[in-house]
Amino acid sequence: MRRRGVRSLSPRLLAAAWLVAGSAQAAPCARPDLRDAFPPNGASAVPTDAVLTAHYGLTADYLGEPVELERVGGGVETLSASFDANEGLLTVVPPGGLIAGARYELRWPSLRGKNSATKGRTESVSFAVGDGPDRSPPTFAGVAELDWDVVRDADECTEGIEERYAFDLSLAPADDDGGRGSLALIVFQTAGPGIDASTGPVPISVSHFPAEGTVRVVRPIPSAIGHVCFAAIARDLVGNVSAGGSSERCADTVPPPFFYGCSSAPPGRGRAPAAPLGLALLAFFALRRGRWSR
Amino acid sequence: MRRHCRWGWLGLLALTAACGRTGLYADDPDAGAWFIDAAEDEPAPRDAAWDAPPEAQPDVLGCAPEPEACNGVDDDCNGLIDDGLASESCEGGGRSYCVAGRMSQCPRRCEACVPGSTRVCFLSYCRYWGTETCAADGRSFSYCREGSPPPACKQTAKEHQASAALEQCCVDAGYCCRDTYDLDHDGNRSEMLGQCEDVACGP
Repeated sequence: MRRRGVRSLSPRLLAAAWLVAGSAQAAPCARPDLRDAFPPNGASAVPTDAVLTAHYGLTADYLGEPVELERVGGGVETLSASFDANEGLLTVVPPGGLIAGARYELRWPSLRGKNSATKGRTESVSFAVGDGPDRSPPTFAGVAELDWDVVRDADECTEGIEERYAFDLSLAPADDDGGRGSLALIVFQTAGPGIDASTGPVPISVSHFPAEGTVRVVRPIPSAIGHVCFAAIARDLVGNVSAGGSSERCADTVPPPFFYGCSSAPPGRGRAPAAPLGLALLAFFALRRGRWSR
Repeated sequence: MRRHCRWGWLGLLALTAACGRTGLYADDPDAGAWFIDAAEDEPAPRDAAWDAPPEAQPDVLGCAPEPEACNGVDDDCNGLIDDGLASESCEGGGRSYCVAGRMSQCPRRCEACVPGSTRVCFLSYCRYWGTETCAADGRSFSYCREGSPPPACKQTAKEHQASAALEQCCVDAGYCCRDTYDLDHDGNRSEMLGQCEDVACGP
C-alpha cells in the first residue's frame, strides 16, 4: 500500500525536483540588478533641478523600458530615459523640474542583461523635494586613509575562487545642500600598473556615499601589484562634483604567489591536507617507537 | 632510546601544530600582521590644506590668483586644489573628472570582459580546446576548462593540437578566441580575436 502511494507520487516528486533543479540552474550569474538609485529611497531635501539616476549591474542593457514618476497626491508621468552603458546609469530629467515641497514615488524599470534575456531586480524609491534648486557643489575632502587585504571569494560565474586585492578607503566627512545621503561616491585608481600621466586615473567604482565613512573597492591582482594609489570625489544630484580628488592615498602591495602554510592550495580549491600528513608522520613514529621499545 | 623518542614526539607535535596553521591567508585576521605589511599610506604633502575649511586657510604669500585648472595646484588661492572644475563629457558615454591633477579616463562597461561571457582557450593536452568564463565583476577570466572542440575544428585539433592553426580555426568558426598564438602579430597574447562583441568590454 505504502509502495503504491510512493509510486503514484513519484512523477509529481520528480516533476517538482525537475522544476527546482531547473529554476536553480536558470539563475544567471551577474544579473543586471539595480544597485543604487540617486536619490535613494527615503531621501529628503532633493533639489528641484535634480537629475534622477539609477545605477545598474555591468551586464544591463536598456531597451526603452519606461520610468514612472508619481507625485504623491498628483498624477503619474511616464518618462523616457537615457542609458549610459559605460557607467550603467539610467537617467531621467523630469520635464519642468520637481515641485518644491512635494513627495514623489519613482519606479525604476527592471532591465535585461547583455547576452541573456533575464531581467534584473529593481526597486521603487520615494523621496521628498526641498525648497529649491541645488545651490552649491558637495564638500568632501577625499580619501583620508587606506588599508588593503587579499580576498578569495567564490565567483558565481566562474564557479571558482577568484583572488582580488581589496582596498578599504576611509573617507573624510562630506556634505551637500541636497543631502549627504543622495551623494554618489566615485573612486579612482590614480597609480598602479598601466596607469601613468598619459593615461589618467581609472574610474573603478560608483556607489552611494557610505554612511559609515568607509568603502571597499576590489581590484584584479595584475592591476594592483606594487605601488597603488586611490582618490575619490563626490557627485551631487545635479552633477556638481566636489574637490577632494587631489587627496591620494597609496599603498605598496605584495605580489603573489601568496603563502598558504603547509597547504599547497588556497582555501576552497581542495586543500592539500596538513592533517593527513601529520597523521602519517604520527603513524611512522608510532611504528618506530614500537621497534625502539623492543 | 626512550628519552630520544620523547624528544621525537615533542618535535612531531610542534611540526603538526605548525603545519596545522594554514592561517596565513590574508582574510584571516590573525594572520594579517605578518602576512602583509601594514598599509604604508603617507598623506600627500599637497593635501594638508584639506584639514581646514577654506575660510580658515591663511593666505599663501606670493599666491597670485588665477583661474583654477586641473593641475594639482591651488590656482585661485582659495586653499582648495582643483575645486569647482566641471566634468567633461566622454565620446562613448560617461564623464571624465579632474582627479589627482589630471583628467580621468572615461568609464568602461567592464574592465576585462562582460560578466558571464566565455571565450575559447587552448590547452596542451587531451582535446586541446577549452573555455574561460568571465567573472561576475568583469575583472578577470577563469582558468581554462577543457571541453570538446566543435566539429569544424575537431580534425585541426587532432592533427595540429594546440597551435596557431587551431586558433585560426576557432576564429574562422565564429568563436571569440584567446589570441594565444598572436595571430595578429601585435605581441599581445592575452587579447581575444574573432566574434568577441558579447565578450569584450568596449569596441
